[in-house]
Amino acid sequence: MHIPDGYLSPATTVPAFAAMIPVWGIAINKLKKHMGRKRIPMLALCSAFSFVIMMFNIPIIGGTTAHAVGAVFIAIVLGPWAACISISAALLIQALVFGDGGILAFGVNCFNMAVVMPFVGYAVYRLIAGKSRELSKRTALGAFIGSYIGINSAALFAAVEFGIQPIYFKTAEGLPLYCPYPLPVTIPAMLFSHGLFAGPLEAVVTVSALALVSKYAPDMFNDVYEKSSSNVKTRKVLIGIFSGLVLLTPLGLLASGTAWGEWNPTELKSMLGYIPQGIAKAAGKWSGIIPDYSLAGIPENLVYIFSAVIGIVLIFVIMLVTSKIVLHFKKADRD
Amino acid sequence: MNNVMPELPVWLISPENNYNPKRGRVHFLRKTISGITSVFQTEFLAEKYSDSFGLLQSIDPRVKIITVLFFIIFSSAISNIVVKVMVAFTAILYACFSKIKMIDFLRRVWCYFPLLLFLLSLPAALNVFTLGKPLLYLYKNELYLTSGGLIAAARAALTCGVSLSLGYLLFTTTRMAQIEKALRAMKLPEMFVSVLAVAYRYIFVLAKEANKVIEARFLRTVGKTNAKGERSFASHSIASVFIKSQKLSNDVFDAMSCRGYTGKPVSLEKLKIHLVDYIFIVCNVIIVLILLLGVYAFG
Repeated sequence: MHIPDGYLSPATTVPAFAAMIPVWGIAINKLKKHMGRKRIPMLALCSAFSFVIMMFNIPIIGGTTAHAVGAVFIAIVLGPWAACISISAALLIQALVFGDGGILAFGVNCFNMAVVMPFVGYAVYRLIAGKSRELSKRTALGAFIGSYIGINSAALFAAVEFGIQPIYFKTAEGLPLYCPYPLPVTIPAMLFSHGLFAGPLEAVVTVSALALVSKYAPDMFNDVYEKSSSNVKTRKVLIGIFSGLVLLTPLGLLASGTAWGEWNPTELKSMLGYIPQGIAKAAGKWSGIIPDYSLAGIPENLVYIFSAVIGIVLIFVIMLVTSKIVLHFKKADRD
Repeated sequence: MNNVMPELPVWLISPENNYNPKRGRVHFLRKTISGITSVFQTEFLAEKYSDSFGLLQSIDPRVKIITVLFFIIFSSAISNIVVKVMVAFTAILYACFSKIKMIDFLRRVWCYFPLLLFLLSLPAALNVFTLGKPLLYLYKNELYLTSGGLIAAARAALTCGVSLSLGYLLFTTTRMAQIEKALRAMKLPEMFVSVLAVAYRYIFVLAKEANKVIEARFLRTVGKTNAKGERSFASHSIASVFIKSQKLSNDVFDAMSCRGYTGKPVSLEKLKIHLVDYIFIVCNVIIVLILLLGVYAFG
């Protein structure tokens, strides 16, 4: 479910990142109030834990393996806000250090796996488990269904994010710019794999892990139960965040049409009402150097490759000069 | 581990689990062990390169973060394949000038995720999804790969590769402590940066603990095991790692308190923008201008 860069447009990823900022803000404020000075090592270790369990390959039906996310498990044991921050930190380390999940798609990945999954899973869990404070059949059932629905909701959100790309972001010829699959493909594909394989796995792992924690470290389990008891205010905040996010999502969709920054002078004119003088001049000059991007007798594709190679050589020369100057200064500093 | 002997070769830190039977699937325990081992290898490579005397290693981490983010957004926002290739080459050139071994760079960046994304996008290149000029007929004259679909698949793979390249460059040429400082200087919430910093350090500790559990089980496993037993073992290991992580968090807090931790981290060194950073910014502005020229020329 880690979405890589390349499948989502910046018009989706940037608003998703912006929408995550207030969520992180609220989570940080909540945790500051409830967890005291101990919060940093506790959340950090939780984050390291969620990172490590994502490396556990667990056998599923059909002889293949999958990994659990553990978001609902953390939400049940430490509360959904703690799950939000610790999973976000784990996702950032995964994206930056291990290349798992895109850097630009970090906000979207956090939204799916650090907000939708723990909050939906936790809400379902509380609904079924009620105020029960120890692991019983009822709480186990709540954890099972909660984690199953949690991971499937996150998958559904990811499927919608993928599926809207070919609708809103395509070239003038109608070719997809990002994810090429439409909603009728992405939703069944994601829900099939998560509903049949990843979902049951997540549910089994969550319940078994909770059972073991409540058996061998019951104090850890009950202690956190006290802290995470939900109240009306929290619910209101949650509803507020989700409504805000739902309202924000279409903002990204408004930016359909030509890819950002690739407007031609006519499009610029329609957007701005005039063509900036610099662009008008540059347009004239460039066509003066290579008219219609083709040289007499040479195929157009070769001209493209030739121009690209010239560009790369220019970049190489600039980088070489910069490198020499920078290292010269650094060496002087060292000496 | 790597702080003690940064010159330790990769093969020496790999566990001896090279036995791969020709038939049958890879056992889940072996898969998990190799996954955890790759974490240590990544850490090892990062330590190895962040100390080299190269171009990116000499630049202020804040400038590097902003440059990397800019190039990632730029490459994601443009649709032209040729310009995307140029950005990819820019990242490769930066790797060369930062003394990163090309084999490490290409293996880590281009050999897995972009390839996977390209293959995943290939079915969308069929005329069932994307109409366009036929490029390769698969079944009579009815099912074929379209050139437009292939370009769309290549575009997604290139964007993914460029993003991975730049992220890899940032991480391998900058120590994690420097990235933390830069994030603090860029006014990210203190708590989030601290959680990130401590989590990064303790991932290796917890991964080591998890590896011990998995290796112990792996060494004692003979013959076939049933999937149910394997799942219950994995769940119990996850619970045991969680209990360990919570106990460790108490120990870490006590250790931090003993060293005078009051809730606010103290940094002994302040980041400062030097002349070389300005030169680097100018270099990138020129590169972006060349790329923009490409955007304009190639359409």
